[in-house]
Amino acid sequence: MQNRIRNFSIIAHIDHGKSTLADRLMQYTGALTEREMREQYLDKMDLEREKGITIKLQPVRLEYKARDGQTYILNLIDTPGHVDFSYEVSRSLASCEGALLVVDASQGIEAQTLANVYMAMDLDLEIVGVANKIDLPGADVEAAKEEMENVLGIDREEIIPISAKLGIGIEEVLEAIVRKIPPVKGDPEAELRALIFDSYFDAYKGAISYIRIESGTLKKGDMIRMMSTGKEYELTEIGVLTPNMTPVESLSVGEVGYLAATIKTVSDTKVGDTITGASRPAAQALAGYKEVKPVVFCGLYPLENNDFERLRDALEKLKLNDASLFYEPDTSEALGFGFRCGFLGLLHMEIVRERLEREYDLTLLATAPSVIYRVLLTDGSELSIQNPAHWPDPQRIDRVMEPYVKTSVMVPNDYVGTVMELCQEKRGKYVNMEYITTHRVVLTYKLPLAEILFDFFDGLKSRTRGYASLDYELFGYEVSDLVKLDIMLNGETVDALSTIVHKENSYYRGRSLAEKLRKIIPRQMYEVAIQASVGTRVIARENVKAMRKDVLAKCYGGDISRKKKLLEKQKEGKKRMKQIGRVEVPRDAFMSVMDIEGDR
Amino acid sequence: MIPNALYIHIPFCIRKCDYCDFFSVTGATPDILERYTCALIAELRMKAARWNHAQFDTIFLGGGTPSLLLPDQVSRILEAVFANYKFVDGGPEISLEANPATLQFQQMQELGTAGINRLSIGGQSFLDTELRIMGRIHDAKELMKTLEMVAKTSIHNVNLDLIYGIPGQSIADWQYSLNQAVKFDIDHLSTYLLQLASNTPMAHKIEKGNMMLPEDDMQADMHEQILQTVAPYGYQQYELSNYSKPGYECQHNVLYWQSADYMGIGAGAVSLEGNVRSMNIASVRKYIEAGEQGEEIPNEVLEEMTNEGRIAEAVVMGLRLCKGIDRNEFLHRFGVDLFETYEEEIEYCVHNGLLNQDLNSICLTRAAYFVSNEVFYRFLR
Repeated sequence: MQNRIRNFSIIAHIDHGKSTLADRLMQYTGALTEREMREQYLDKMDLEREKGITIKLQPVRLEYKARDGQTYILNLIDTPGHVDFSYEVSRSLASCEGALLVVDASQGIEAQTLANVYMAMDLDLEIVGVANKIDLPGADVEAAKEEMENVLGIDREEIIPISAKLGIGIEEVLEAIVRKIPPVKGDPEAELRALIFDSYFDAYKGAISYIRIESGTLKKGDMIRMMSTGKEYELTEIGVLTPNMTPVESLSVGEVGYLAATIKTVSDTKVGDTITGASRPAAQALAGYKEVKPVVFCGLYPLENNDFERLRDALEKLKLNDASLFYEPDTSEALGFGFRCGFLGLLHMEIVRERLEREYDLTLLATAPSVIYRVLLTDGSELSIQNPAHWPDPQRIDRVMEPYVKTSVMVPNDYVGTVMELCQEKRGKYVNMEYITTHRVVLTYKLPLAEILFDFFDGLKSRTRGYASLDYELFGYEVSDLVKLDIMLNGETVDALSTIVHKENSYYRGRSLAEKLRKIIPRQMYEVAIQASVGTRVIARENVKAMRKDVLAKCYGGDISRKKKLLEKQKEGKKRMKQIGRVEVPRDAFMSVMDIEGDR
Repeated sequence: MIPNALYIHIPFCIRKCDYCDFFSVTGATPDILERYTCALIAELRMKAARWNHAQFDTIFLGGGTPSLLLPDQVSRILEAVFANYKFVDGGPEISLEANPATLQFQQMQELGTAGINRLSIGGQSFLDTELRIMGRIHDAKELMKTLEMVAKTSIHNVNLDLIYGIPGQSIADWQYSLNQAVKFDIDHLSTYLLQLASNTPMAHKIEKGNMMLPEDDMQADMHEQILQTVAPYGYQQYELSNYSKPGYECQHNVLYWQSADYMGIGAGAVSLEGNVRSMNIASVRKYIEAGEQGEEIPNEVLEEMTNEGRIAEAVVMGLRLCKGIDRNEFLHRFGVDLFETYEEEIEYCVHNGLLNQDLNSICLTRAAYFVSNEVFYRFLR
């Protein structure tokens, strides 16, 4: 049995067709009937389907009758394709013996893919190369194969040309999985060790954990023990994901499935923990996962102050299946009680915020994202600051260090100059440049993470007409000349609008931010003065003139209903504003710090 | 007890104005007008039983262009009204909307004889350029002629509608029209800020960038210009857009603003009975057919308000009147104390200079007139 299990992942850049290939594999093996089939089946969240990206991995078990006449169990552990979630990729990869590398034959390899393939190679995974979208008129299968061979050392003869969309080459892919990816290892008779690689909360069954069995066997009704806490539970249900939850009697070595044990506290099913048998426990836990540290922080505040507790509950629930999410209570003078939250990146931040609003029916205010700064004080002590509101008095600051990332940009050589220019503008330091093919280049720069958070990606996309792809990893801290930029509304500093900026950029940013706020803040009953300042020095000032017209000129018997609807709409609009002092500030204003448009 | 208002809709025009989205049709033949008149009379008869408890105080023939009806037709309609409905003592205000281009002296005299005692003239502007932009069929000369004529008739209560905020209009242009209006010593002035419904030809032109409305600040200046110009001539502002000589306030519209029940007769006409607002079918053909066959006029409920909603509406409408809302009257009519129900909202608005409050009433401050929505939306529930 063990010899006929294959655990694999799919590595692909966004839009290169990973979810579509997963759909086809499920269809081909009969995991889903035509009726059940819908696009991007494994992307369970509406958000994923809307954005066309995979955020959350969802395992699926396929049964495939191979050409050798044997039936194999193939466990597909889908992976996210965005840089923010590279740690989720590592999580899925660690549960596999092999990976499909899917490359869009009309695009070639992208920076992100490269990073993930290296990760898989480090974990000794067998790589099966797939050139997808061969049906597209712009597809150049030979070029894609050449790139995969040159850059990654994958034998071009072994690369399978497919069209996931049209279902071409699917059987070849399945055969390659069976033939090339090694069967799972481990002793079914040994003590039980199962790795939790994901969990979520189900209102009826309690916490559900997705597991992979590394050794031993798990049977329904067994008593299990969490190795990190020593807490024991009786299994109420075990099963496999076909992709629907299908209960089974037992799960053995190499198998991937789920378990429920009426675990009520979400923190008791920690991702990365090892499950063992209560009667015959293993001596040592599995390696588990490296704890991921958030790199981007922002404040999340409920628009309605009394939603604070609901926000806390929602964050707690989200945290269960998103180990990387960090939050702690925070107070803002302007926004009241809320949370300071940490994320893996901007997309992660956006997704968490949207999920909180959609799934928990909250209306939130998000402040501009910030990185973690290390501030060395004149008295020799050091502060770690991820909230600009906590920035110390400049008099006490000796020097400030900010996080840098090593950034690789993969780009056609025509755009090298443009990309270098952009990196320079963003305070980048050149590291090197490498030709991966005759016309594609990987440019490596050290850049402040904060600059990447602003508008680097948008700038990159627009200046290279979408041809560049980006990957980055944290590199370390370097000294920078940074100052805090404050915003005052009618003379009062709004802590939630403060940002940390490079001193050289402070005038530009101050001016653009004040101007931006002038456009965002609607005219009100009183004039609103917007000032940007660094320390005690005001560097920009804008005014929002007092509103003078907001009237329904005509209102008689026939049109009262319609006029009332206009007023109701206005009332709804006001609900999306935050009152700060006497000023009504739209929700978006707090994020506006982010997208100062245009280039200097 | 607040009396009721009776509205009769005459949905016919020679040409649709470019800014108008009221229900009206063009190209009606004399035969259609006659059959429509008969249908109105039929509806008036049909509804008599249902409204037999009502005490009416005003009749308003609006449009469309009611002056397209023959005086004889108006006379027959009014006869049907008086034959079927009760009126409060003293005789009702009976208004008719008229378009300068459709009005002759003889006709006005006959309308007076028929019972019309108030004429509302859709003059809109004294400048031909502005009249053309709005798609009006009359010019400034015709308007002035009409105003001279009407002064000689037996109708001694005359309103003139004026529009401001017209694309291309300057402060001086608006001043010119206002000066003309006071020169004719008209009893009542309705001055409307041009507000465009999205489905009008003018709105499309503005959307495409072919036309531009004056900026908000200029519109606000134009609003202030009105009272400055007309006050010295003895006009008082009594509603956000309405000015009159003392005693010449439009009683019919005041009833709307006092949130009285009203009965609408005619195609597309709206009625308010208790908490239900409904509208007759907005089709001349179907309306006439129903009337001719003696069937009930097809009717659509626009909204059914909760008591709370009705009260909120009464506040929003009542605050349009400069004198505001009387606390005791309100308590008497709706059974709630305005000051208690809206304590928070009133306090906020008073504190921010939008409302005046004394022991027994609230009203908008003058400064709040042109930003009154900032007050109104707060009172909606």
